[in-house]
Amino acid sequence: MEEKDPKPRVVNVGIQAFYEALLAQGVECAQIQWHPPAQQSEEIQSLLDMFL
Amino acid sequence: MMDVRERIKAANDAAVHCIIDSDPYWVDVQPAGECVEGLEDHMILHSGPPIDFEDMVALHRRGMVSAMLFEHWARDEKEAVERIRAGEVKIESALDHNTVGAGTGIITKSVMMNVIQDRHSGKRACTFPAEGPYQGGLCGWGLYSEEIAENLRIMREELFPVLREVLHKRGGMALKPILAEGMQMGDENHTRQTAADLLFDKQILPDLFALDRPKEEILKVVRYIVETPRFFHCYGQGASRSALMAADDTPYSTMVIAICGNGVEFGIKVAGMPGQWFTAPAPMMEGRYTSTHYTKADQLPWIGDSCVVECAGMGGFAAAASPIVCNLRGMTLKESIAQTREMEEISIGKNPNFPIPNLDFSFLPVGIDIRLVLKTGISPAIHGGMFNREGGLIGAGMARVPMECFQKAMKAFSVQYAG
Repeated sequence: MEEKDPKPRVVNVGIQAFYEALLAQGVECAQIQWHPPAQQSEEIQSLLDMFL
Repeated sequence: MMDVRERIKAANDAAVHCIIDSDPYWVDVQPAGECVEGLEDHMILHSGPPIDFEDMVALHRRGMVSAMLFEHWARDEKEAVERIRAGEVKIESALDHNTVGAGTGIITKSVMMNVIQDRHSGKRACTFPAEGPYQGGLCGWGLYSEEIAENLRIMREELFPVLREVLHKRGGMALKPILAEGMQMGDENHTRQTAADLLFDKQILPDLFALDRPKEEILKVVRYIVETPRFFHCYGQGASRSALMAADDTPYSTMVIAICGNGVEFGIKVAGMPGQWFTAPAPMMEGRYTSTHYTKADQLPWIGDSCVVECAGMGGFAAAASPIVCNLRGMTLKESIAQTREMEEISIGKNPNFPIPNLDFSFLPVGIDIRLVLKTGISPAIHGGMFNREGGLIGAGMARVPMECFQKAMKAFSVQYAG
């Protein structure tokens, strides 16, 4: 059976502070920029549906 | 027949090409009363959205008084305030004219202005030149003293006639090559103009020394140019403003053509809705102070119109070109690139005039679309200088345009264009 790599390697999606915290602990980490879709009011959302 | 989305796309393509295809030249130096359209006698322009004297921050109120004294419309501060309160002068936003108000943006008929013409559209924009050793001086910081007035006189009577002669002899100075090359040399053309300053000097110095004038006259102009920090800033703003004026009044366009603050309110203007302001409370800037003595309590909310450069795809949109500026806020090269990549998500196109080494020579994003800002929730990143509430620069950093400005603009757009 293949021996597991004892060091975790992480891909962090979104919050930058998590990525920085892992780096500070010496964890190999790649950051992917992402944020949740914007939350707009129903009125603005309906205007975006109409114009975009 | 095109539906509304197709009309918007065609309009935004046209509007963004007003920026991409612009060909700004510095063509003249003239008194504001001759080159700023609609600037009347007894009128004072200021930065940011329109605001009444009573609602202004101290810096703007002081700027109004300074302008009254400079133009000899009042003998002292008391009389100046009385005349302003009596409505004897008109107060208007610089961005409602063919100009741009950096800092406090105080402009009256007698101050000298750089005239920048976009040779593609023919539009002419005027910008207030840096005040040499006084840097912000009357226009930027709204200050008035005998020394500042004397310096403005020297600029008007001794320095600018020489510059004017140079400009007329060489047929103007092309600004786009300086902006483009400077961007490849570490400028983002809002907070940093180090490279552009040197490129500008390289252009103008040989022509200055070739003039048939006494050496001391020429050296005085040389000292003014080379000893003024960020001398080129006003040219980048003028180049941006003239291009954005060409895009103004493009029906159906959702592209932003102005972003600015007056220390109280922040405002944007949109190409498809000429003359309208969409405002929200002015944001605070995040960044670094020039001294550990300063805190947020010293800092004024955003004041100034210099975000015309972001509207034209520079400044915060060009972060990848200038990790040096971003590092002032502790950012890494990767994070600078990420900021530009983020701005791509809210931009209409890319500007092939600005290939950036740190982006593997891909182009900078250009043309802010209010719809994309609202869809993504990503607000434009704007670079700039931090102002002390009492005046003067106390740091540099970045802010985000309040989302409320875009929400108001979208609603107004629907009123104008739905159906």
